[in-house]
Amino acid sequence: MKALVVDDSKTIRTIMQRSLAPLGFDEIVEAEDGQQALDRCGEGQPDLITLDWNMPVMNGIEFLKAYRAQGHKTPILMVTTEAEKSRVVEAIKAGVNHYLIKPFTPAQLKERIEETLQRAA
Amino acid sequence: MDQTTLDMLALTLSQAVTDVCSMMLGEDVTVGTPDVAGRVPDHAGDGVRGSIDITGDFTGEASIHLPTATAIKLVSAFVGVDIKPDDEAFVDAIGELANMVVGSAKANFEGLNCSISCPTVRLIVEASESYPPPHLRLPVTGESGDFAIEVLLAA
Repeated sequence: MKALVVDDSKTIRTIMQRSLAPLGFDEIVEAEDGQQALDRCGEGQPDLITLDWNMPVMNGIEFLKAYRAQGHKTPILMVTTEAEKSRVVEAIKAGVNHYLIKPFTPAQLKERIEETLQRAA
Repeated sequence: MDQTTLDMLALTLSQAVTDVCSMMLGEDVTVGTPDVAGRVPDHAGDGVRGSIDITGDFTGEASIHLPTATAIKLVSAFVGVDIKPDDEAFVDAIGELANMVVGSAKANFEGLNCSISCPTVRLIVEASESYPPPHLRLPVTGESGDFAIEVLLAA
């Protein structure tokens, strides 16, 4: 399976890689912002996207709207410090499948990834 | 900023740094009594500061301020490998810690309408670069060493 990890923090991308590999993701592609993520998706659709909200160039919501407008159904887990209810609602309306607020434990991340895949199945 | 707001800010930042250290670093920390008068910390001339600009109901800057030795241990716990302070990944990790602490506090501060910036990280190498005395300073103690969460409010 292929995952796309979108976050401007290399630290978070490393943590995501570490969590995704044991869940069967043998190809993990990284992007530092929404625009890079759109470019990466042009090289082949992933089976899962983990998406930060606050990023330079193109933020997570902008990516989400552009990506869903292209008709792609890939499950997306938003992983962000944005915890206000209004933000969660905004993300869900824009097409995110699940939401995880930073900080998180490794167990919470694993659980949320699995739930995201189940919801989209 | 009135005393009630300062108290609430201290409370939300205390909870945030405790959560971030516990969940992301696997380290339990203790937050001491907030120093609302502010003072320059003992390690002002040797350390690392990850800062987040805040705009909205109040304007200022919130920081995680660590002695270099403590920062090295915490980054190692965060990333899972040892990283030297001059490595780009080290700076990124400190910035992400600051982002999580301030973002989490902002989310838990009911009624506060603020925006936060992308983090900036400075390596503090000389005492002359030390920060002005912050308006709020939270001393944090953990297995990896002592550090502080500081808030500097705009005049």
